[in-house]
Amino acid sequence: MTGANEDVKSRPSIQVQSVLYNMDQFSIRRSLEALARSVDLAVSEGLSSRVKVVYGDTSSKRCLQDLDLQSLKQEFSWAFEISYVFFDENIGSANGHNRLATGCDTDYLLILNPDVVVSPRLLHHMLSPFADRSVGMVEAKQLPIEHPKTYDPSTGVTSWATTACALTPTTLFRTLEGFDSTSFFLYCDDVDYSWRVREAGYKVIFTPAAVVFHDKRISPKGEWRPSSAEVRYSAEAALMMAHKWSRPDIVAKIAKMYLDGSEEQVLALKKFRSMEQRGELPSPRDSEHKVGEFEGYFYAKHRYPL
Amino acid sequence: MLNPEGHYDNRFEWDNVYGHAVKLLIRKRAVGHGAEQDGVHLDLGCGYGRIAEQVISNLRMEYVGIDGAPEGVASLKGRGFEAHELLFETYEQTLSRIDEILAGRKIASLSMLDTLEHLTNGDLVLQIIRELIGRDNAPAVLSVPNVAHSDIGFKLASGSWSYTREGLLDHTHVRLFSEASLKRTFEAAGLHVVDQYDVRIAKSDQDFPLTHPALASGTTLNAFLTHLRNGVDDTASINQFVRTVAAGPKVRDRAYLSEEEKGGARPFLSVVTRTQGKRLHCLVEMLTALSAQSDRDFEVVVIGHKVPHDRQLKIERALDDCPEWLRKRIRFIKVDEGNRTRPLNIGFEEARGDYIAILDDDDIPMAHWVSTFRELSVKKPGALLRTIAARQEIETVTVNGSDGIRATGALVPYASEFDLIQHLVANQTPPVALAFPRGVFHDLNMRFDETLTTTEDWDYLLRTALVVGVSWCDQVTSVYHWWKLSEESSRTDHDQAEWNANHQIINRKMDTLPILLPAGSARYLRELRALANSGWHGISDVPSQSAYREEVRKILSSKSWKWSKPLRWPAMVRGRKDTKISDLENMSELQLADLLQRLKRSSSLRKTRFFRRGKSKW
Repeated sequence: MTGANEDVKSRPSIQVQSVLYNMDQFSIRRSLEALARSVDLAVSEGLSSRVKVVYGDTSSKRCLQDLDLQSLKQEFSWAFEISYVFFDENIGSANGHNRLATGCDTDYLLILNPDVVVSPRLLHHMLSPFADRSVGMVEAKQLPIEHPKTYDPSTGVTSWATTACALTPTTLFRTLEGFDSTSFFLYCDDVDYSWRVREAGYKVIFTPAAVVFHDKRISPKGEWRPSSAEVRYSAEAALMMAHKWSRPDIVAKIAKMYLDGSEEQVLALKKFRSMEQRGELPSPRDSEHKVGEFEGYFYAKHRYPL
Repeated sequence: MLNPEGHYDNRFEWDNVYGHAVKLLIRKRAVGHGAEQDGVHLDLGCGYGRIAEQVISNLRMEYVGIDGAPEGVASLKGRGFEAHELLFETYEQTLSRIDEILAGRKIASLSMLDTLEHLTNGDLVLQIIRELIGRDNAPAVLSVPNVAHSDIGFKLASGSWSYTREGLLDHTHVRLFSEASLKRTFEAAGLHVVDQYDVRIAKSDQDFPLTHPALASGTTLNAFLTHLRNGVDDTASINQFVRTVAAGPKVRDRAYLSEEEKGGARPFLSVVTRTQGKRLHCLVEMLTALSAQSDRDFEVVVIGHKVPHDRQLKIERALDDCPEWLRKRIRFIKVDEGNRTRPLNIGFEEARGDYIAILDDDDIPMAHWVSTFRELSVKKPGALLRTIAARQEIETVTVNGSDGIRATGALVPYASEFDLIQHLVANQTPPVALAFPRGVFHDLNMRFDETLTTTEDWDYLLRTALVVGVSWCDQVTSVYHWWKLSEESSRTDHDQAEWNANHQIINRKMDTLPILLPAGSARYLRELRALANSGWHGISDVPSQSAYREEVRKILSSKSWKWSKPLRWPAMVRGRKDTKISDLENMSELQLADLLQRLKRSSSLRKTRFFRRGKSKW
């Protein structure tokens, strides 16, 4: 019995955490159905000991009522336990994930968008790179629109990982104090976390075999059309990233562009300046630019335009 | 048979239903038994029994005729044959009376020619036949007229239905049969077709009036209908089905379609996926994308084409890995023959959905792929459904020992507007962007052309669209992967000469087809003609849309056009408006070409020609 228990202990446990914001129930269920199959395969093949799913709801009204939650818990109890926290305010994704990770007792954290549909062998593909102790974060490939950032085609090493679906050891997440929720509300918290992972001496790995589906669409001309909120918060994040990772030249360049930019960009610049005046900006780091990669307005070279 | 207008007494001819029936009996004897036969030939509904002489001379067996009308029976008796008058009323009464007639003699063969369609209790009579021939495994030859003859069908399609004294639509017919309904009727009685020698008459007794546009052989309408009809099956010219049946089990409960069979529950979409199992990582991506569909009313038919056993196991493993709800909707079928087109025909044959889409193992449907097809099907029911696919170049990379797909180029959507005429020139729609209405394959029997080794989907798109039209929208709903030339794919498996040869075959095929064009095509063709007549360019020197726009802009902004405005006032008073430069942005290539022609022909511009002297153009 002791031997069997030891065996189970050696298999990693995973907390899958998602921040909800006005997410419909069909998308949540669709995501859980796929995740349950992936967990089923990973546990039955001895790749993982247990998985739990935690939701943090930042919507103004609950996405899941008690009855819905009860029904989901029951339906998927064979695969994982589900817990749910209603934050009762929009605290942003970075802060939401940090709060969900508080008290986490699993070996790994899988940061997952709540509408992402995982492939059946996802956990297998995402866990295997951690056989190399120098790996600190593993990212899945998104369908139908793959991110164009570059990565090494044989090792998967990349500049940063999106957290639509990314796996990181819980201890590392704690050591790095999670996402920088003071500086980032909605975007670039993942780029910043990735760079701090690398700053701490770990690798960030992109795994094309670990696929997930994230419902994104393009215009008939092939363009991705961000919403107004996406434009606003990514504009804020761009300034913050350049500041935090010691690129005042890029801050100046972006600020100049935003001055005559869209309404969202003007608002983003105003907020940045106000934080600057109040001394609320984070201290710049990576002064020798060993980690931060600024390629135009991107954080890695892109293989093709999106 | 009873016909108050007269009696059916047709001569025996080797090329009419009597001759065909006797030939079937001879064929059966040659296969089954020796020269001399033990037993009698029973001819039910024999009429004047005009096969009697041939049965005696060719089959060398006794002939016994039975009919409900006395005239035919009298004729047979007068010619020295055994004949009896009997109406088929109930099962017991009929059977016991026939047994009395047989008086212990075996039935060696049986016939009932052109009778079933007159009987209100035909199913019962077939059961009696089943009982009689089942005793000694005797064959029965049955014949009925074909209500699906093209002469009847084409006229009925335009609202015409004409009973006649006798013939295909004899006014005393109470049951009508197509090949399928006859087979069904037999099967419900426990009779099974073992041989056939149908009577074909291309111009039947229903080929009237002379210039009916659907019937007259020189009309476009007839050419179109004939092309469609002959594609469905080969019964269009059959006048009478003449079939040999044997007794067997009843394989159907009823001769007619049940409610469920009429239009039972079908999934909205059948997804047909071809795979060779060579790139399982692609199949996994495709299945993951399917598991994210917002509309789950679909099934998946996965065709493993020429896959060895080890690869088959891997494919089945990947299918079994899917979430339970999706796994239940997947069927795996193995196909070991044919080129890459064969799996499509097999998959479409197996498909149960109202619409059928091709999703190859390296395609990626977006979450609204199925739901957008459904919206299009509501807009134009039964039409070919067309969305937009975005092309993306990819390659396989092996990261830490696992194969994955890596995009190497941007997403490039195909043309957002579906242009049928442009599709006659070149394909602008990969198969993943299409859903074919089930009826095209299953009702019109339009199949993929297996002689084509490439572009089979383009050929099928055209043949379908030119019959059912297209319902399209400008939504990008899928990613069509395009392998880098360094990887094995259909781009590398077939050389350019082969692609060109298939293109030419499709062109020639389309040139021979009568086609249907949707409303709006006349204007399109007019504009095309104007473009061709413009002489502004040669065949190999077709200007771009922006070149037309620039040329028109030059005219509209020229001094001579402005100064000649007063010359156009009378027309403007009548309501004609001058085109503005700002209008040009939204005009199509053809509209611009047409406008350019009109401007160049305009009298006001010609009258102000002297302003342009010495200038390069305008």
